[in-house]
Amino acid sequence: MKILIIDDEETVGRSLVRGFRFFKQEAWFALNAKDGERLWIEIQPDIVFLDVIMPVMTGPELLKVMRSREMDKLKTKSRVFLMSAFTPEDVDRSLADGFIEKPILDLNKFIEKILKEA
Amino acid sequence: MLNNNDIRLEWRIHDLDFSEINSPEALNVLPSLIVFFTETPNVQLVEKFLLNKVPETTAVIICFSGIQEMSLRQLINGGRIRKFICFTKNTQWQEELLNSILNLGLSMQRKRLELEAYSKKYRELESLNENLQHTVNESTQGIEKSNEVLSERNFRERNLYRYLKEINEKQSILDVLDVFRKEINKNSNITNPILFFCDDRQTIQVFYYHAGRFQLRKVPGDHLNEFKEIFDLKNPGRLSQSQQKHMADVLQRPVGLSIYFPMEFLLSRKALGFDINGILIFEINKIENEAAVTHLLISDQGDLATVIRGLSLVLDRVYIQNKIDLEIKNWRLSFDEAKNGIAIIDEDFRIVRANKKFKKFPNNNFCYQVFANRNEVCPNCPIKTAFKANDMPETVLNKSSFFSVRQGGGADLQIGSEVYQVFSSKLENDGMKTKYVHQYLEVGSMRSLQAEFFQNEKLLALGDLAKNVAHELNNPLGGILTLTQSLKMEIDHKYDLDKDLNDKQSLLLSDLGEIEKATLRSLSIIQSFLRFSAEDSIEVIDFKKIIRDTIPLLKIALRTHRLNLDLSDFDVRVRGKFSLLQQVIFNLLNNAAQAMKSAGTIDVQLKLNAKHIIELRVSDTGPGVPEAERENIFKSFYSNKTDGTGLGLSISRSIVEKFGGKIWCESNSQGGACFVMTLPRVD
Repeated sequence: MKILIIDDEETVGRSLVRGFRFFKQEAWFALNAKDGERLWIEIQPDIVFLDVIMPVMTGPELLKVMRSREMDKLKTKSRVFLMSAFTPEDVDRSLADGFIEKPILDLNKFIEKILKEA
Repeated sequence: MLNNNDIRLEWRIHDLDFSEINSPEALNVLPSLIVFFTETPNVQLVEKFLLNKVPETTAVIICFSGIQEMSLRQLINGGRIRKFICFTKNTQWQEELLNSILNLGLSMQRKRLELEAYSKKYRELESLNENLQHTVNESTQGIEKSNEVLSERNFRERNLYRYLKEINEKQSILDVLDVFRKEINKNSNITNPILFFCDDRQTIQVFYYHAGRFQLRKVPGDHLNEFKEIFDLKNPGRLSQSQQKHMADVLQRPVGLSIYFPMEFLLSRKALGFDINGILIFEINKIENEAAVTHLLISDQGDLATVIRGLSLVLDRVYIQNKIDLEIKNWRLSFDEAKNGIAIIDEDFRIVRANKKFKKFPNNNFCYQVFANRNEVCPNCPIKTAFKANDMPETVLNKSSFFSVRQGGGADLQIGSEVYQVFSSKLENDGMKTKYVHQYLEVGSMRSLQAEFFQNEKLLALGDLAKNVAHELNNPLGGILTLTQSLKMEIDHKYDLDKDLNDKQSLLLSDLGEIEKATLRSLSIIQSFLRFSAEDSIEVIDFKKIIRDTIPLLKIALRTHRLNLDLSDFDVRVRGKFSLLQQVIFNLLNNAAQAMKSAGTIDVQLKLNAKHIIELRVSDTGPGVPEAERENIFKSFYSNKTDGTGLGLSISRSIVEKFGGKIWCESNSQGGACFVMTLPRVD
């Protein structure tokens, strides 16, 4: 599967990419919404992990843009998980498929769970 | 010899016989002097002659000889014969006799004329005397009359004076009217007076005499308009028929011919600023005609007018006096019942007047004695600065003095644990010593609440800041954790394939494991902290979890000490806010740790004492809290630490009590402190 991670914290992107690649998936990461958008269009990922709090454009804002793109331009509809240290109630999850509370305490279990549900 | 020029004498000689003298023609002239010459006067004849013929004014001289004197004596003594001369034949009697007779006659004439003159004068004097007497009588009468008048007036004036003196001593309207009535009753033409009185235009009061005393009735509101016109009357007069009828309605009895006298309340009106009206009304009885009525009305010199004027002045005075008394009473009540201490102090710090709240140490004279229990003037007392200005004193911030003077706010006074703010302002000069009004506001508790509030605000602000920091830390730490875990995964797998590098693998793995653990620990601390400062709602909480979550936050404080946890085996649930209760436990543990200068032991014990109460005991091996202080430490601002706010325990108590529990301090067996906290248990 193709997995895209968009998070302004580099360690998060790098580690998730490593993790997913360890599990034999294809994974990329971007550090901001703009790059993330570019990669999103390019890769057309199956799963996107989208950080909520990012400078310039937040996760939900990007999500809104991409969902409208999916309407006319993209071929694939991605499953999007919003990630944040905040509680789910504080975040606009209307366009997302799921919510992941940071920090992720056990990477192994996390990836296994994601891949099982996919 | 006949040459007396004053008296002219005409004389004739009649040679007559007494018997011939019977005929009046013999005396056709009225002599003033008759001289009888006879040798032997017949007394009877002489007497007869004298009685019938001789007028009273004629002097009679009888010259005779040889007669016995005695027989003539009678006539002489009777006054009819003025003189008699006795002569003898032998005398050269004609000339000598004549001379002597004439001389005699002359002297008699003279005397007679003198007598006449004297008589005349006497009569004149008498007449004058009579006139004088008459005049004196008249004057005397006049004086007596005016004396009467004067004494009557005197009496009236004394009476008036007595009346004015008596009426002026009275303090109430009813008493005043009583004195007035007694005075008025002396005039039988008028009956007992009725006074209509209106001071606020809403009610009219009627004072009337009934059943032996003056009574008061209020005119019902529907009659007010009718009476308003009566109050507009300015001069005394007679009531009209319709006005009499209004009165009859009010008094509920017939009212006859009446006269009215407006009362003026100049003093009260001026002092109080609103209209005050009064009308005095008399019913007339026994007056026969208009003139008498008019006289009563217009005689402003009369006594009635004076009496009425006296009444008017006294009513004015009594009214305003009553009003003033009421105001003073109300002022005193307000002053005495004020919740803050107020005192009026003169420039020598003596108390002129003080209310209840001020008199903390009564039976003294000076303000600093009575209020602050000091023997000398408080330094920076606001009186000195109030003396210069009428307003609040200037700023001098002087923390070390007993008083500190603040801008626009008066001075601070600390007595024991209470703090007061003192305001001073100068009173109007009344000619004696300058006086100041001091107000004492208890601001101690208010200040500590303020400080608590500000401290709270600061904590909240810090909390916000910390929350942001925590969130910021979450991210990189989370990333580090995940990266570490991903590295662990790879190495674990990678080195499985290459058996040669097993040692290195295990070393790397163990190092990565350390990084992982450290990161997890950091994240856990941040999470505890975030929960600590969260705004959460009241819910049922696992009490043991609070304790467990709080302990990591105290790692540094607890590092030199030993912590023994004896939490019970069963579930312990309470109702409250997690973050707030966490603050309490944090406070207790932190205090315990800081109380012990050298390494000590903290015992935390959780148990159930009564059926639904849980008890948490936190004991330390520090110096403990002396018994006298065990309540004081829970007060705001109490602190024996050089840093810190001294608010921790007071806030802890308020939090615990908010959730239905209690918190207090005991001693423990090792001499240290033991803080006990209870909360109701939730099943």
